[in-house]
Amino acid sequence: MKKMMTFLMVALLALGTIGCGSDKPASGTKIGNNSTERSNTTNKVDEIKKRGELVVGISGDYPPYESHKMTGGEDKIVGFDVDFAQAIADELGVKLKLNETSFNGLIPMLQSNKIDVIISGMSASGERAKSVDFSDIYHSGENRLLIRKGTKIASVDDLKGKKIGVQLGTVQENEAKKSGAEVKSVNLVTDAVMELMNNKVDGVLVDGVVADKFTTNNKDLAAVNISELSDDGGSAAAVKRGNEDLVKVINDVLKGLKDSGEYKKMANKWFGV
Amino acid sequence: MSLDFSRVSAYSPLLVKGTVTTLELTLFSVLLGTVFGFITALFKMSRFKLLRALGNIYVELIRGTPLLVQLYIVYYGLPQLIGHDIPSFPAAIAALSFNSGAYVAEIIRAGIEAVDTGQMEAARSLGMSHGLAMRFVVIPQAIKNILPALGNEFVSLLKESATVSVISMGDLMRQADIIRAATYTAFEPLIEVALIYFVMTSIFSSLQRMLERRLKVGDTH
Amino acid sequence: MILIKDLCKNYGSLNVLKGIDMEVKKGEVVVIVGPSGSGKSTLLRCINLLEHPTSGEIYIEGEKITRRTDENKIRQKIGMVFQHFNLFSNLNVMDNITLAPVEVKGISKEAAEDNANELLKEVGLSDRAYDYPAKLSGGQMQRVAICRALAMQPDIMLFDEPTSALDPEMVKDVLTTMEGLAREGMTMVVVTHEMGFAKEVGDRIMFIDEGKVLEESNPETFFSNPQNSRAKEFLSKVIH
Repeated sequence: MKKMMTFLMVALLALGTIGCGSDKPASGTKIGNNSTERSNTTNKVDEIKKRGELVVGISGDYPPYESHKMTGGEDKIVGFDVDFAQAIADELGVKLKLNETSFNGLIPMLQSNKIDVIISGMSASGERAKSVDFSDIYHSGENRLLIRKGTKIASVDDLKGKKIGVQLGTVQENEAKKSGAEVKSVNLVTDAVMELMNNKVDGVLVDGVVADKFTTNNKDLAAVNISELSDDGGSAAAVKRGNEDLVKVINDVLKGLKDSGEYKKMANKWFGV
Repeated sequence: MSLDFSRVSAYSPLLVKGTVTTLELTLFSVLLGTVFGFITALFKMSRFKLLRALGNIYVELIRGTPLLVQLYIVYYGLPQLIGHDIPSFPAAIAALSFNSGAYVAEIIRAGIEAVDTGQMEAARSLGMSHGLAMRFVVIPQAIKNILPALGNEFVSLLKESATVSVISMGDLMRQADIIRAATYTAFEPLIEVALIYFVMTSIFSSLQRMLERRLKVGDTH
Repeated sequence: MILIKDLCKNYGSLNVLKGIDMEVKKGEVVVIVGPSGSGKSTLLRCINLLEHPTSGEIYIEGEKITRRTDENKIRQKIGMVFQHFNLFSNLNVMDNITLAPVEVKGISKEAAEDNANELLKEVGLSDRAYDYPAKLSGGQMQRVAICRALAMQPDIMLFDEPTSALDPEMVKDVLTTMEGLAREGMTMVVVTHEMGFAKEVGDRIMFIDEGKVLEESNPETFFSNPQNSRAKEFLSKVIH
């Protein structure tokens, strides 16, 4: 009887939170610190402009896309994504506000309007596209496999019977599964690299530019390209379903950056080895 | 394995920030949780069936679902119900203390039941009501039983508070991950953080022992 | 003072008391003896409603006390002393004795403490007034327990095997205290194995076995010429 009651309560709670869900267009309920109305499909940009602030969700544990840097005792989040976000904020004529959280918290935050957009080295995977809308891809490269220096792994055949570490919920996780090796998923790339250094896995499949940073900073690591596993899905900005006006602005900004040569500068600054 | 703490020393301010956040979260949540737990324990021991049922459902619900889910419900679900946003810090405290309350309720109940029934009988035989007996005899003795278990709850909460990183709370564990990513180090930040957690729990354990000693004034050893 | 009619107490399917009739006059000392499990303690605990009778009636000073809602008030008039003392371990001796008078009867702390000191003097424990129970010996604890019960100025005192948990050398002091009480005219019902006390102080002995009163008489008769066969058997085992 007790368990039944508990089940009913959980069901009620769940229904309550889902039922009052955000898919009802003009219900007029106020959410957000600045009493903005629930977003309709076409006025997200207006909302942002009225607020004077673009709130970007970011997970500062993924250099060179974003990480924390202490400069003069002050902690700032820096990276390609931050510069990109700044460019978008500038275009909209508003201030940039970074809302930092762990990677898994980003999409829920987007869907409950706590942030306007996710720019956090997130791959535009088909799975994610089911719940959010993506901008054009703003960076794509190849995945690289981090290995301990001296390990003999050069092709996908060398991976048979081996273990590959990946970050949970990433495109690389899916790619790694194609290899036939055993795939171990962990919360952070840094955790996967720890596993590599401790001989618990034989390779770590990550975004190419991320791999390069690791090899630069760690003499014991090397990186190889494995063509079968190289699809990195491409990083894109994620917005809440239906915010097409914001997607358009982001795409325009990206195009503008590329046309003006700014993009190349940013890419060299952050992704150049 | 060679450790080089100089690579991470510049990021110490982040550790301070994380420690403060973790401490604030844990302290507030334990205090509030104890209040929730106490009320729930009273409900569960009440003569009224409705109160007993409410208390039981609350405890079962909390103990039967993961903290992460409860956190999400408070941070994302609740605002939808009440139509008003709830920022990270209050949401974290609400979820953590609500969670803690259920466990504290059980600790309190067990502590009270561990008090010899003869104590209650003696009090009743003197003409004291159930309420008076609880207030002057049973509960003071129960507190001695409850305190160690409450201390364990604090330590549990301290470690579980790391869950809040998913709702933008930069607790100590999150700072460790941030520093690791920023400096490409493996162990140094983790060791620093482990030390900090250890110091926090040690200080708390000492305080708890002092409190227990003061309460044990009348007992033989 | 106490009148019990056809008292029955069941725990589920277990019948512990099977129709007890009993009468205690004011100032009488009734000693209840019998084998373990006979229901002696249960009977005692029904008198002050720590247990609720399944059927039957109990009258205290002419008032029916069974099936009443103000049990607490009734218990103020009936003191109880337990086999395992049950002193409040979180309070010192003085507070143990004054707690109920102050909180239940509303007596001032000073008055209650004065009274407590009187009681402690009677049992020779004045110097222990501010000790905690953990520091006392069993005999001392039991004497404090008696003081605590007396502090409420009850009309009746119930004793549930008060010396069974004591080391032999402490038994005498407690019995002496109880004897003093009896001489002062307290109405007492005592469950005990102390046959010496029963003989010396008891006005009447009740032998209970398997939930029934099998024999009831004055001490001389009971100890020298018991009628009931099981009473005889019990006595032969108990008196060495």
